Amino acid sequence: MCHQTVRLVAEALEFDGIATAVVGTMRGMLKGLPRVIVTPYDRGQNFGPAGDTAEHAAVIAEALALFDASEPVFRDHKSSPA
Amino acid sequence: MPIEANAYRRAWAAWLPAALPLLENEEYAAAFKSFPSPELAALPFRPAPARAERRIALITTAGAYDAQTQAPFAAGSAIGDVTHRVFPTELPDARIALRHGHYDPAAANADVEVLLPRRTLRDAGAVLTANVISTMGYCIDWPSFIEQTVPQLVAQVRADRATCALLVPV
Repeated sequence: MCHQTVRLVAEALEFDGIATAVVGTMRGMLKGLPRVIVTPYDRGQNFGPAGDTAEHAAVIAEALALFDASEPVFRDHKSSPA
Repeated sequence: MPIEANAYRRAWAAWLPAALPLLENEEYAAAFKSFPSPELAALPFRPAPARAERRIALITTAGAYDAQTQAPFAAGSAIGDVTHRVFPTELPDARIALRHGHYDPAAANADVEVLLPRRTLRDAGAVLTANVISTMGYCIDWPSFIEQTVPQLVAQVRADRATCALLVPV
């Protein structure tokens, strides 16, 4: 439900002219949105494990780069090697 | 809104009576098997604003709220919670609580950046709006979510002068 309700919010924002990017963990529910990164983590830690600041920064860098895209992006984030 | 909400509400209301006992028994697969989805218009791709104009709203479905000033979400409700919370982006981590019931909050309780990466975004040079917006993503009353909550969220994002939004579903 969470990913699906985010979809409703993203679509409303996009129609209102707000560019959206989604960082989620459940890929099947996010298809069709304009900018998506799917991370390999459990629900509740979308940006990586607690305390892993390097991984959080890596995911955020990818997420911010989505706003530079000139076409829809649906990308899997590969976790950084420990 | 591209959604004809009244027609959708009728379909949802027809689904609810049989689904409610299943939801109350946490038989989600059976309950959602026939969950009606609204018809959505095709979403055209629009480029984001130029970097200098990006002002990002952080939105999550994590059930986050200000533990000192706001009520928790109704995590125990079989139909979830359609309300939302707005709290300052600068709120200290210790004041952010999570109430959801459908994911394990241990990681976020240990380090809220795993769901609300405010520091990480700032460290990356992102400009954030003044407020974080949270819903509790376990929300079954989609007609009310669509008709009431979503317009309020969009209005909040507009009021915060966001040009972009980073959404974090749980």
